[in-house]
Amino acid sequence: MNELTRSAFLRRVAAGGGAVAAGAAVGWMAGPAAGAASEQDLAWLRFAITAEFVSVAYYRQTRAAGHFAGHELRALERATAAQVAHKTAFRTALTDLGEPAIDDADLELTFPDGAFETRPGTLRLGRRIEGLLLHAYLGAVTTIADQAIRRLFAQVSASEADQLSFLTGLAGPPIGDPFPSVHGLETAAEALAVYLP
Amino acid sequence: MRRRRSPACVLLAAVALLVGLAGTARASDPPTVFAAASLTDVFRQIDPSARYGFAGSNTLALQIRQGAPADVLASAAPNFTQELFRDGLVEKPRFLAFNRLTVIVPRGNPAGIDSVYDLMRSGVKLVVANARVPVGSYTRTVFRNLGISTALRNVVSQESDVRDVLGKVVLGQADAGVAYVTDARAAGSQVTRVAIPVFAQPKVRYEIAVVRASPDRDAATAFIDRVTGPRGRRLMAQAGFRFPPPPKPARGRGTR
Repeated sequence: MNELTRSAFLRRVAAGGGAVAAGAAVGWMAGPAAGAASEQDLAWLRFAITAEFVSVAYYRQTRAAGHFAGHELRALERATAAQVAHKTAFRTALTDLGEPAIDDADLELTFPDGAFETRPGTLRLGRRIEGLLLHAYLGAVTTIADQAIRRLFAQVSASEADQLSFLTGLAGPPIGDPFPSVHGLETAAEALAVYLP
Repeated sequence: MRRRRSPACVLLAAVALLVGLAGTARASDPPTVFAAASLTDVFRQIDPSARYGFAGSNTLALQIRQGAPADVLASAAPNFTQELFRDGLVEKPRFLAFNRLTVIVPRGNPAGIDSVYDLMRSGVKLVVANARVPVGSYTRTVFRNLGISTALRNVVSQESDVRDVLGKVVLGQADAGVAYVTDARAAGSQVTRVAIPVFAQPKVRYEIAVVRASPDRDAATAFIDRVTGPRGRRLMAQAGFRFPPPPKPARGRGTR
């Protein structure tokens, strides 16, 4: 990534707002020069933007569902901001490589009927979505050619693991799988398709 | 087995269309509509009385440039309508609908294509439209978006419009093809669909415009009003075409 595009990215992050976004920006900038992005790398970025879109929608609906209050609700607000920041970072990485953006308006989503009716059901769905993102991004880290993009996925994987742990903790002990699964793009895309008719 | 239509073939087809329609576009006659092949069934359903020329949008746009007597052009890609508008050959294009792509396989799925990623498998016989026609261009975008452009090595035939792709797959002359969702639906049980992930879908936007040289612009406008009106939209939606979601209500507390 050249200096001009990094500046452009920073401006966008500033416009998009949020400390998490700034953190993501620093991580994205800190990577070595890009330019080795493969078609597969770009496919992962498109997947990630779409996956974060689903995740942001999940957190928004969860907050609106009324099962959480106080510090839990505030944590869900921070989680939403983190997911928005991830989406911004992935989208910026894609457009800085000269690729067309994926707009939210191009995407429709659907959650299972009654998914937000109870607190346990809401948390179950959240763990499924966060788990999907984590497993997918771990898969991305193992296959992406471009070092800067790989670094971005690694950072976001850590963040998703935090959020998965938070959601797991709301339902019980927050300790998860010692070796989370690693999804390839095909498996991840198939799992994501459940939410995108 | 790779097939390309020769320029002479295309010219003959264009001349045949011109001869077939020449002299028919008089005032009070039903309008002559040039439309993307993917609109074949739904346009006939919306207005059976219009005269139609269905083909690849690129071919239709070329014919309008050459003076074909059309009243309306409906294109599966906005670049054709926008270029004709820029050159003063059509009036300002209007949005018609969105569409999506899907992989189609013949009944019984003999090659066992269960995922779009299976198209990369060695030995799979794939049929797609050529890159000049919108569906062919969109197909290549999908492959690129999925990181599976190598699947193009499996192409055994390149067609001039989406209906030819569909025909090859229905007849079992290929293991798989890429078509619009609407064409796959129109084929019913003759094909099976294999979904393309939404993150790989290009923006397939149809536009429709009155041809400036139309001798009966009122009839042309009336046709466009019919297909973009409530009944037209309902029928297009039933056929699988997509439209922008209605405006969202104001956000309440607790959402961002």
